[in-house]
Amino acid sequence: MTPSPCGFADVDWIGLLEGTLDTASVHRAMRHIDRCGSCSAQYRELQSWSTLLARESERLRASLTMSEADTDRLLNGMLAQLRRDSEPRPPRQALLMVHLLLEPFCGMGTARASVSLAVRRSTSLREPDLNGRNWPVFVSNLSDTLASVCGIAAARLARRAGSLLVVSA
Amino acid sequence: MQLLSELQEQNVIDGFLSSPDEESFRALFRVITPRVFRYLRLHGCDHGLAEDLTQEVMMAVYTQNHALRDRALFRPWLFRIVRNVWLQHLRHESRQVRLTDVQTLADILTGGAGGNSIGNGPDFSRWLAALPHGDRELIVLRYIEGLEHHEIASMLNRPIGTVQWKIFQLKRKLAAHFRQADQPQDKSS
Repeated sequence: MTPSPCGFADVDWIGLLEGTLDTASVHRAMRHIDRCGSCSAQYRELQSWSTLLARESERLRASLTMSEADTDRLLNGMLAQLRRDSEPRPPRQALLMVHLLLEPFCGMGTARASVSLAVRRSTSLREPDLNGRNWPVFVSNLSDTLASVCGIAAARLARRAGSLLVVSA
Repeated sequence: MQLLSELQEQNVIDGFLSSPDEESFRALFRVITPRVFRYLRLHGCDHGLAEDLTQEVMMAVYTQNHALRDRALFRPWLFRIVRNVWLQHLRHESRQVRLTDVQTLADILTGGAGGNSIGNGPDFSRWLAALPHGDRELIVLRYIEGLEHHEIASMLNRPIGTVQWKIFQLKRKLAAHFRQADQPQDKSS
């Protein structure tokens, strides 16, 4: 299909067919189409393809569906996984996970030293071990330590990963 | 009818974003999952893979919903996640030299291999399957998923005028394709 010789541009067609023109512009465009044979033919053709596109899209929508049973199975599987993920972990297990996350890019020594320093800063004589209460403080301290040693990206990663872990009291 | 279902969908989305708990997620899952699954199928994933990737997308929706700043842009945000998950999968696949080809997609769309048949519309499906990925994505998002131009523009991070113009050109391509396809039939009849 070639552009209309009368100067009715693509932008006019787009506006008309997609309904983005204001009422006055639509009237003006329709008056032109009524008078111009070439535009009139193009308009009919474009409209018929729009209709076909809508019909075929509807057919595809209807055919590519998921059964109720499949939807339920997926949903239940996901919810079970989410419940597992949100169960509180013992502090030792959470620490191990943080170690495993940091080691590949900080190196074993730096990861161990950073975690150990953050643990010392987050615990006290009254509360010598990590638990659910002081875990957020630990995550914050670890992030600060990593920012100065490994850079801001590592610090941000540790903060995000640490705050996602639910630690038991 | 369509307006009603769009309103219902928006209510469910608003409900989840206001209070993202298990109950609101269940409702969202039922409304959104068919769209995600369909997008993936239309991009060449077989049934099993589409299910796996759908689950991955919905997990991201559940865990990352706080990252969505403008609720009105939920659909572009959702499809950006779907697209990223799909592209990530493709990158992984290409490392294993197992790219999805056009014929596979055409088979999925026309029911040739492990897919649902689309009845009387294989020509349209084959045309869709033969389109380059970017063009097919535009048609899928605009006509099959019913996204507005501004939503597609937001999702693809492109100017709205470019999206409108591209979709219009694709419609012309479709017209030309079917006009050519019709010609031999006219001669024989």
